[in-house]
Amino acid sequence: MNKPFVKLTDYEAVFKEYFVPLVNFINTFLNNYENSREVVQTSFLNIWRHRDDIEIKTSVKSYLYQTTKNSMIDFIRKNKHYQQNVEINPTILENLPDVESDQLDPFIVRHTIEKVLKSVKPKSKEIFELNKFEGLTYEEIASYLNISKRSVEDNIARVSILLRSELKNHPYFFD
Amino acid sequence: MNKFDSIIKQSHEIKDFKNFDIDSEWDQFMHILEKENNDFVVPKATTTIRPIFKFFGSLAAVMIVVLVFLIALRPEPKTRESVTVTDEQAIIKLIDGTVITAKNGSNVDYPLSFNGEKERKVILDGNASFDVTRSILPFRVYFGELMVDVIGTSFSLEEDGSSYVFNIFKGVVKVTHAESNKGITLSKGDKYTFQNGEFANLNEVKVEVEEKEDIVVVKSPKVTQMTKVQVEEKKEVKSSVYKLDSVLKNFFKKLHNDKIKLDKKFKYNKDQTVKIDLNQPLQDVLISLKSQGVIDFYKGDCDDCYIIKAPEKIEK
Repeated sequence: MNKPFVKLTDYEAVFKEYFVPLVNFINTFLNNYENSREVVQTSFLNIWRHRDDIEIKTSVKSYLYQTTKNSMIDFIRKNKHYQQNVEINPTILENLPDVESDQLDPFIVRHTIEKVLKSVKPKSKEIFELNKFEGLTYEEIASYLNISKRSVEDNIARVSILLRSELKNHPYFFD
Repeated sequence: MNKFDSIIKQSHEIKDFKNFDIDSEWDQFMHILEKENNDFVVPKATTTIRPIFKFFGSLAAVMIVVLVFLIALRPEPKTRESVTVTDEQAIIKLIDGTVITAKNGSNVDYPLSFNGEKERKVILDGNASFDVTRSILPFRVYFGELMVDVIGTSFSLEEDGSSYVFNIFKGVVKVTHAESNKGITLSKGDKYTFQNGEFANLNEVKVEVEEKEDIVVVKSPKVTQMTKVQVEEKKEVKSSVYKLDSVLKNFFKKLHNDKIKLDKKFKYNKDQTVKIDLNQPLQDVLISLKSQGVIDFYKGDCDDCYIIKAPEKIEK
């Protein structure tokens, strides 16, 4: 059985990897970053309190998804005025299967991409965004930026390596 | 489009994505954890566990203080008892079996235990008789200005105004004047008085009175002051009857052990009695015994040393 929350250093790594994606994911329901942040903090706090008893049977991502979702349900129940604003009924949220944790993936990737793109040259960032977000081909980018196709490939490859490195806990992204 | 590119595209479709300074968030989270430890864990300890320790700690401290106080105030274990006799007489039995019969008005200070003692010390003020049990510890009675050393005997001590009266019923006692260190050895039947720094033989006085005035019973003989020389002059008159065994064991072995030795081959009848005055000089005692045919003796290594042997049998 996996106990990833017992050691503080491990817990810190998990926190830093998932906090931002989870807040943004919860915010899609609560539409309030401050409350979303509070829900995620409460979720991490509960995990820390019971860290010795928690055994992960599926994956860290699924466990965090489930726990944070439950924290959000508690939050919504305690703050009833939220029920009028949120798009999803708490009882429906409660019954969401674990496979729905895949909903968290875009938030994890988005957080990682923004983190990586901050650390690379503006040129590399522009080339990567033109390719992945705008859908331009290598040739189109080379023509648009007046650089060689090889240069486009190298820049995209450099950012991709950094992303793979940052997302090493999610190898299934690259299947 | 591969899976990763598909996820990237989905991530790009998130309209509202806010980034947080994750290090700052972690610091805040740690702050919450610390605050929670202070608010919940520590207070729990202070309200449940610590007060218990504090209570028992205080209780233990109080108990230690009380214990120390009790030990400090504890009276020293009583080793002696002092009794003043108000009845006609009182019988005091010491732990060694010695019986002291003290008369009305007398005060007896005696030991309750002999642990660690070098002697069995009794302080007498008044009149008492003693039946002393034999022991390796010497029995000593402090009687006014006199000390009476006892070796298993029965005797009485009486104060008669300014004089002290000794009456020996059994065995031998040695009476010493504390200041002058003047002493006298008394044995069975002796009745002496001590007055004005001198010992006087009451038997001698009694005998003389009886002989001259023909008085049969003298209950309270008037003490006639006698000098030590006078006592010695009357010594032949005050001979008493002893068992030879008692003379050899008590008089020679215990009081004159440094001067008298018994021949190893010397055998004697333990029931043999002799009539003798033990206040005579040692040599006279030996001569007296030899004349009674119970012993013989010859000189030892030193001037006053003698070795007692069996008497030579007279051939018929």
